[in-house]
Amino acid sequence: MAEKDGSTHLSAPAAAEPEASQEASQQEQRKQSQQSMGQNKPYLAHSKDDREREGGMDPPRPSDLCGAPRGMLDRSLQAQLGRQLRAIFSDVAQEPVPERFIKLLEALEAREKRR
Amino acid sequence: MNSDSSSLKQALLGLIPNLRAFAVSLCGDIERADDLVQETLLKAWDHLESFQEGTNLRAWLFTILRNTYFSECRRRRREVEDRDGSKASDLAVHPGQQGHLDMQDFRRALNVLPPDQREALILVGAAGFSYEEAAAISSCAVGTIKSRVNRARAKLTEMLGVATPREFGPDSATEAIVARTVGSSRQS
Repeated sequence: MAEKDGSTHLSAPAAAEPEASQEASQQEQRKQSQQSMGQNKPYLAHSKDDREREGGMDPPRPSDLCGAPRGMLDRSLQAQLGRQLRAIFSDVAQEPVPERFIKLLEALEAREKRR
Repeated sequence: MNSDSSSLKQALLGLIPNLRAFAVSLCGDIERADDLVQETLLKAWDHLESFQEGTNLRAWLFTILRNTYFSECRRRRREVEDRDGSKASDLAVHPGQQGHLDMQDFRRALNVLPPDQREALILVGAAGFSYEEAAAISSCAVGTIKSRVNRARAKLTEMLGVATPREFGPDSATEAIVARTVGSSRQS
């Protein structure tokens, strides 16, 4: 498979999930501490920082998220993707069985009994 | 036959929530999904003799449902392709307004995937089937399932990635993500 980096992780979604979400929360913590350090900065300064992280024009500071390997970002995205996918599924799977199906099965059973 | 039909009824009832979830994830539309489930139940009831006792009833029902769905897709292929095209452009114009793909965006992204990739991703990533089971359900090779899942994940990651830079933005978005991360790690 000539996929992007992280493809080995991709092939074992369930097993790799806890690790990935742990990393995601570590990222969040780092982000939080960054934010508290830069609390005095106005809103615009934040978004400029964001662009710098994206573009990587300045050398990344040690605390900068830009320094995180690309694979880590991918894994946190993978974790998010897995959560959303399961959420879409379980949202519906947790709904009670609609009346129409209960009636349908009762009708099928009744038909069977008449035979 | 009476006790048989009663236990079949119970077994089917118990699997309906799963079938509906699979159908909705496949076709993205609850009404169409319920029609698929109904057709699946009818076919399963009438072809019970082709179910091999002792094998996985859930997998058997998923197989019937996906076969029903894909033969319907083949009938409406042109229409489906048109719809997917317009969805793809919608997504390109509005990547995650809240700084991430919310549920609605995610559903839309899922619907942009080719149906075979979407199916593989749902079977393995949401319904909890192994690659081998998913391959049996989709009647293809295990390697094919793996490559479909990988391609689907790569494509979704790409779409999620488009929205990600904003996640590093100002407070409300960050808080939402922190809340989500904390909430989900509590679950796991």
